[in-house]
Amino acid sequence: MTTGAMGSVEPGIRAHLMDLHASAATYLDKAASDFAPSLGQLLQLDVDVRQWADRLADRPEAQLLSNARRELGFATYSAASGLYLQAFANLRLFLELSFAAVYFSVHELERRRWMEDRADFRWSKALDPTDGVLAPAFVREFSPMAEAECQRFASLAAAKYRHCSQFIHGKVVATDGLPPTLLYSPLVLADWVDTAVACAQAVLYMLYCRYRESLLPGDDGTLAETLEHSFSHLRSIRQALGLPLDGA
Amino acid sequence: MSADLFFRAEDLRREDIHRYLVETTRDRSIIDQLKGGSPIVLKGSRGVGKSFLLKAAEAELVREFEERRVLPVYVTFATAGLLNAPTGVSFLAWMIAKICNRIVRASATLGVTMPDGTAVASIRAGGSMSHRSRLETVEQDFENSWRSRKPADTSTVPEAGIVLDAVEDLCVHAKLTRVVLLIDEAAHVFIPEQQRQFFTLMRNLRSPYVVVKAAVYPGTTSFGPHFQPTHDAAFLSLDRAVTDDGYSDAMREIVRRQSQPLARAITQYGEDFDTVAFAATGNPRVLLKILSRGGTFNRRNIQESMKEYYRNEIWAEHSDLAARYRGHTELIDWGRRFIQGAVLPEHYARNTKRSEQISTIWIHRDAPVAARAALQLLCYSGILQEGPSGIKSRSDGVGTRYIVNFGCQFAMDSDPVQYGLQVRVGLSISRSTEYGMSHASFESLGEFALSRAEQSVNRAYRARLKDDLRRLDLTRFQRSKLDELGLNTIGDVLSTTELSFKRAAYVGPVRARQIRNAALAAVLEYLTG
Repeated sequence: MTTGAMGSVEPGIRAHLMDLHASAATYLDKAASDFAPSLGQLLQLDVDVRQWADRLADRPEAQLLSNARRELGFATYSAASGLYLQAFANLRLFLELSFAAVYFSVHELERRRWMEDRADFRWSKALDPTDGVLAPAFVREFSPMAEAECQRFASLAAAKYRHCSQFIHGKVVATDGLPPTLLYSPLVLADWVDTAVACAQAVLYMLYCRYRESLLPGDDGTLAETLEHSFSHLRSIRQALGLPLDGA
Repeated sequence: MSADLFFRAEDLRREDIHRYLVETTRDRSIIDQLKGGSPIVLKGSRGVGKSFLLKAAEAELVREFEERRVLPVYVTFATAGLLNAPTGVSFLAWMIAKICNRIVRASATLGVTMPDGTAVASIRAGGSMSHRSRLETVEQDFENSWRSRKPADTSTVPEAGIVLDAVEDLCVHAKLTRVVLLIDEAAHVFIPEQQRQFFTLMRNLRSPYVVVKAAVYPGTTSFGPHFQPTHDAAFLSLDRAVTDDGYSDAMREIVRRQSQPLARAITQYGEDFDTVAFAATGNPRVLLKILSRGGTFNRRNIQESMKEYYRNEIWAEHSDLAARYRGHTELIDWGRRFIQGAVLPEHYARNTKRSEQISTIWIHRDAPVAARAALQLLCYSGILQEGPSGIKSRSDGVGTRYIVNFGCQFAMDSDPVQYGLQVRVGLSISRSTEYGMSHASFESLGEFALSRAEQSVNRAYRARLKDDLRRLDLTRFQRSKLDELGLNTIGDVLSTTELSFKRAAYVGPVRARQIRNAALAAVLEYLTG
């Protein structure tokens, strides 16, 4: 509390912010309780993405993947606190940085230019139908078995990126559903969690396509479990893991 | 007929399972028991829907989680993972580590626990406040144990009891009623020695807080010396009877849920579809495979598909079992000869002469145990379907009835659909061809185990032969007779003929056969290791 010009006692900056923080705390509590299973699914996916990222620690793209996951962490916290637009913005950054990491893994020159701020990374490059990281021609070179299934994840990533962008650009169709003040909205939170789960699945699948050949042969079972958990309904994954196929 | 159909439950995501599940009363009962608190072994041929029911139980427990607080944990053991799995006692540690990992993963995925190492935990200044749960620590202990690769040293393997304590800890803290482990394909991907370890673990993993449900195939599962099939779990058989009311409707509905165009076609050719469904002998995967073959759904295409599958492919799949279960090769080959060479022609000849149609065999309960094992392998392949036991024959004795795959019978004729209709309409399920305890068909199996014993280089089998004969499932009287004959081990009993047993007082052909069957039963599951 501070004393105003007329001598009255008014709430100060700190009190205002603490008041918002207290509201956010109640939303966190509600979110953790109402959305335990879907948040749990997202956090497990995040840990699974980490398993792959950890095994790339000595590669140039490792830092980018780490930065991407950090944004997912902030996005999760923001969403649970009622900061929905910010949560969608962070989520898009998670998607963008993850795809950039894999794109740069095969374009070292562009990575160096981007790191030095001499070039930009464009999302459309990452999802290019011919050369993008989930394009069949790209996937064929690293994980031929996944060629037939990769496009569905390219479409998923594109759709979710666009959805997040609508919030960032203030498109009415998206922002109309946001609460006008800091308020708990189960509807918006449900939309965010669904979007985040889809984004994390797309990233995990992309890591599988790009690094299967180099990481799965030496796997102690940990990476296989991340794949089986999310993608055991996919034929290429079952084939890669030695799970039953039809007729077995 | 070409359609993009799902052959396996594994093709479906958990959230889609109930869109495709067409449940019968029997299925509902099994799903409910899979969700319950008693250990279950679910037995069924390939493709009858074991995985589907396990996944349906999992999906329902997830849906009901808030009210029931039962944590479902679906576990499969992929063959690729097994390539790196250790042998001997280390395998037990490997298996327990995997199971712990799946429990940890399932509880995190349902939001019951916070997984270690999340991004949202790591954005906290000063480091994450999350820590390993007790179950994660136990998982790591078992991981460390098997990675130390000291298979002979049992002291490095932690006690399975600490898993029970850790699961109890999880249940108490997260207010869970229990953890249900739904273990699919376990007995299929493991070699027999690993299967025995698995079922011993299943027996030990029993507490108010955890229960195991395992799916197995008939005829090929090694339960080991500790797991008592009737005492340690309830056995449920997943066989769909084609004579049940609503069988055809259920099969039709399975197709309808997967493909509308196909559903329309089978409406047009309803009678033909009913014959194809009947031919599948309760196996939805076989039905879908037949329907998915090229061309439109019409009688000509169906005839060709049925002939190809039931005359060739199903038998090729059966014979291929020998590559996996080498020790059972003789039984696999005998089974094929018995059904293809004797049973099917006999039934076909009879059906073409009489109005009453049959496709059932009856086997005496004291038939050689090797023959019964061969019949179980035919059940594995779906060529036979085990019916009720304790059935009296027309002549004398009590035995078990088996339905012979209808598709195999229909394919005996040049027009399987027309002949199938004839069998369907005139079928008498209780009328069988009967095979008594000493039927001529069984003669070639008389020396079965002896020849195996002489040739086998299988360590597990040889060790079993040296076991005390008191481990055999015999009466006190029968044991005393073996003492009189100076026999000590299971191997001794196996190398003695039924004629020799009959030299003991009050031992006739039935008792002699029972003694021999007990010895054979004790070694059969060790044939492949």
